[in-house]
Amino acid sequence: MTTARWLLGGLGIALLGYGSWRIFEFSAATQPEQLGIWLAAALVLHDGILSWLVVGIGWLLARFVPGRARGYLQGGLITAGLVSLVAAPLIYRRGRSQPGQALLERDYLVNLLIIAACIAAVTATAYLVRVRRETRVVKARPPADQTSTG
Amino acid sequence: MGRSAKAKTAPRLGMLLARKPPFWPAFSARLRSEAVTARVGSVLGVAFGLCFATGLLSHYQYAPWAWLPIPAAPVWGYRLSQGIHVITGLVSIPLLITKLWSVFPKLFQWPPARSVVHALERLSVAVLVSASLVEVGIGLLNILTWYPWRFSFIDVHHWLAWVVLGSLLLHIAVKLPVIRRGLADTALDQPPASDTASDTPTAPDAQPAGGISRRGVLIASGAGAGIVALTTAGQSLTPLRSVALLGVREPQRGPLGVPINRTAAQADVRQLATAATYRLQISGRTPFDLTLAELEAMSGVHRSLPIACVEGWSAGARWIGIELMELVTRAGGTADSRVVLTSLEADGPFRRSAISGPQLRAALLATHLNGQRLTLDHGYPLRLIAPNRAGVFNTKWLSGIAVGR
Repeated sequence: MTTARWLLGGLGIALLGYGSWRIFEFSAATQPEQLGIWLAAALVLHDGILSWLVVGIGWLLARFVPGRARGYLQGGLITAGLVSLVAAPLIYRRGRSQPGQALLERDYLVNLLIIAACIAAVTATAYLVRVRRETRVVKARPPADQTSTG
Repeated sequence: MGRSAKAKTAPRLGMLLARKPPFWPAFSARLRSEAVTARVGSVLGVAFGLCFATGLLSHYQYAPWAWLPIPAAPVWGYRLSQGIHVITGLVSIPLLITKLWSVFPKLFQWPPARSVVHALERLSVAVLVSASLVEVGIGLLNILTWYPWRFSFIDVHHWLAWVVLGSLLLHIAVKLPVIRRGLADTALDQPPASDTASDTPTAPDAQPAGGISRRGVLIASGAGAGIVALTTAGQSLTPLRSVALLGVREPQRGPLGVPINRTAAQADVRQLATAATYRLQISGRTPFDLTLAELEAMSGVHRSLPIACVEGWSAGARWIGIELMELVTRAGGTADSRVVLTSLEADGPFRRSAISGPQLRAALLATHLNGQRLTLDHGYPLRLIAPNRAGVFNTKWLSGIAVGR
């Protein structure tokens, strides 16, 4: 470890300690017990549920979708999934605002579907372009090279 | 525990740790690689850095030091910094999820800890992960004004940010060689479509030939982050309004073109604000008070000032009012006075706000917004508006002005 790394790590520990100390110092406002539950719940939700859901979807895709198409499908699903994560609370809370706030007044479910359709269209186009290009390459090459689709 | 008992357990524990239990998950870590982690992590680090810096700027609005008052220029300063804060925070969500996905197998490394230091290091990573998830999560819920918790958002969001930053710096210090190695690894076409030889068939995410490459993951998650930025930024960046499919606020749809967070009914000021006995009381060396008619007769200064909220939305607006300095001077104060404005509200965390320095010199007590008399919900009869100032501190329903030294 170089000096710079030790310094950076030391600074990190100091700031981490500072933040934690303040959380406990202002416990009336920060409610450390409830905050602790939120912090633990975040780990459980992410590491215990969301991550395994992704592993499961990946496994299903690998099992049922052929290689070249799968890459594009995975890509589209990653993009759409990440956007959905941000959109989900908006969809859930839509319409629950008082008049005048100009808050959460859009139809976020429809809008998410529009975004998903755009992602699907771009992904499908990219896939078709690649299929066409590779078909051309294969046609132009001698038969020995046809197995490689990398 | 006695010595002999300790000596007996230690080797047993060692034996237990030497072999991975059969049920322990295994991953083929070819897609989830240092090359992906280092790249996504670097971008996420920059986003967190920007978000932290702009967050501190916003927090400074709550309690500025007397010797360093908040500047009044540029007038759109807070609009920009808080817009950046919310956009980088939102973009951090897809980036963080991708980053965590790329290192998920590390959660199941065997043995779980090689030493006490290694155990502490892993603990600090757990702190970083959970604090980051909660920080961006409650930030997202806050811009929806959804508070399904008892703690104070402002306090938790602020202090947890220090925890995130601290554990992040520690993490970077520990992982610096790995980050360098990952960034130098340019094998982004991995895993090659035709290669299955090194995949463990029992691994839960082992994939047969084909599938997405590392580059593909980077493009897909980058696209996710980009779409989030593009479709949410319209509340701060006017040109992006037309594509704000996931826009939380539509500032232009608020009454008189400005959204309202706290109504006169919520603040319980409807009666007081419309009472015939309304007076603005100015205290200082030479105290005085003004009736509604006197205030309206004095009003006539035009200003174009954006109003920018801590939730990231902002709107440009035209105001007509009285220069605050005019009343401050009459009360015996100067441009260097510290002035406290009080609302008709009986309670509420933002019923009072202090202003000094450049913001005081540029502040307006507004009677009109976008060409019309202020509505009750916008702060009738009189509200504060100052440049580069967080929305909540532009106190509405003014009842008193205390001119200090």
